[in-house]
Amino acid sequence: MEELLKLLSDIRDDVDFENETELVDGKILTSFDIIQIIGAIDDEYDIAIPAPEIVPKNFNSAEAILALIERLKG
Amino acid sequence: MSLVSLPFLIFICVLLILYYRMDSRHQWKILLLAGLFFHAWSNPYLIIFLLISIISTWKLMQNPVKSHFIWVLVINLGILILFKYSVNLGVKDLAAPLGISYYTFMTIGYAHDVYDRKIEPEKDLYHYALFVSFFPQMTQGPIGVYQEMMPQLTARHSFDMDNIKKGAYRILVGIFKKMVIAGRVAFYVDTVYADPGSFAGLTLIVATAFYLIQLYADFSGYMDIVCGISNMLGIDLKENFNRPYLSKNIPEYWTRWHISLNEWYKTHLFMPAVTSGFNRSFAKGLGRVFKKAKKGTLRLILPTVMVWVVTGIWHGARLSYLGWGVYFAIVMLISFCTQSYVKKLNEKIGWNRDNIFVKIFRIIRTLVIVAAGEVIFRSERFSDALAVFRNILTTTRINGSAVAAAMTPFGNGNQAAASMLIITVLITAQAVIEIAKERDEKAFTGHRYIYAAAMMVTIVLFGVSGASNFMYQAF
Repeated sequence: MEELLKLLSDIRDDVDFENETELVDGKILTSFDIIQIIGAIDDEYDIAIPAPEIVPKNFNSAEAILALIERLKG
Repeated sequence: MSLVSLPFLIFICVLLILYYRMDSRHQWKILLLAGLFFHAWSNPYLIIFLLISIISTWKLMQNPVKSHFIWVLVINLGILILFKYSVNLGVKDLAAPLGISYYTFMTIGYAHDVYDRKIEPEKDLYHYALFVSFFPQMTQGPIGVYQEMMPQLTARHSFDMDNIKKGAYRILVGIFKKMVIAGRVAFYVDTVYADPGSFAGLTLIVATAFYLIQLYADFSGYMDIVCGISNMLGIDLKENFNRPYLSKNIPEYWTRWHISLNEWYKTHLFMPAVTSGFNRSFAKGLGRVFKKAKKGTLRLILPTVMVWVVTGIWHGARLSYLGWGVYFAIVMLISFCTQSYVKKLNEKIGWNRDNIFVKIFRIIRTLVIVAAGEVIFRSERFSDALAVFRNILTTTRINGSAVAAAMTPFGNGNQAAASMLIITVLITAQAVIEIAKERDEKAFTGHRYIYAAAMMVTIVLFGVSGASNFMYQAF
């Protein structure tokens, strides 16, 4: 989780990724940010996130993103 | 059947009577028949292509395997390309089935969502047919999303006078925007853009500003009519515009203009392209060259260029449309790539983005960038666009004679000045009324009749009656 939070705050240092639960629905992240996150996750964990997984519920919080990563890893 | 015509008025009245008189279980059937009738009215033979698309897509997607999805793409895109580019393909100029671009996009969106297992395939062929052929949105969108539309289309709707009033008012606003505002400024724009090289800078600036107004009034006016008709049927369509000209940057602009099309591109073209294996390796390859580039940015390059080239060509096989697409691809990429630098720069020079002057500056800057793109779009030849830019940059003077020259596309002397004054008053009035409505919908409803009466009078006085074709119908 620590690692992921660092990765996320490298992309947007003005967002409270630890507590925010409506990153997408609350329009905090733009689609540009999300693509950066997808790219960073791929570089860091070597995981390609398929398009159907790019839905708000998978990106609304750091926890959701972590769950997505773990699901795709396993 | 134009939405601003007598046959359509009769059509909608008959439909409303049947729709609300009928047992509400059967309302959706009336809508389906109305959609097919509306389509057949424009050309009774071409409805066969709509039916081919509906039946084949529905049947194939019952079992959403990859090969079936590919067949859906081949059939639908094949028909679309055949009709849209028939001249370029060496076939004679074919009259296209009504709304083919729009229903094709809806069809592919549905098939893609089913294929991605986001939704279950529609079991009922007739329900699916209604989704594709719902008549208000058939000609120019908004591009409906199956999972948002279907529950409303098949629901039972009881008669509600408030919906009728709300819808009628919205239709009136649409007609006003189209016939009065877009219709009036079109004279000016058409005159200037017929031979832009022969006009001076100031005239070209006015013509381009009018063109932006015409595009918005025409297209959003149509959407007002479409949403108004749907309101009367008890159906809420998604808004296609959200004050686009007040956007503060270009990526934001494209989330506020023609929203349904841009959402469609994002979901069905851009995101799959971003995550495709090819783009992944392309971005990784670039990453080895541009080591300092921010993660993710490199993944945007290929998909952005692709989406904008497709959007450009979708408008027609014309060099200026392609130029328009490439222009916005470049603008978007510059915007993406410089985002973090601009942010740092802002912090350094202490720009506060909440400051009203900074906001106004950003809005105007965005408008200028949009306007430059629309100059390319509007110009019939690429050389015309270059002439517009050249003249604006080299011959713009603001003095008495330049102002007088800028009036001439409206006619001579007093008549031109009066036209300019009237159009300015009308545009301002429209903006003020819209803002009043947004600020306080309830208070506004009380005055609605006054505005409605004023608009009716203005439509009769200043409406351009020959202008019942809407610009985006052509796409």
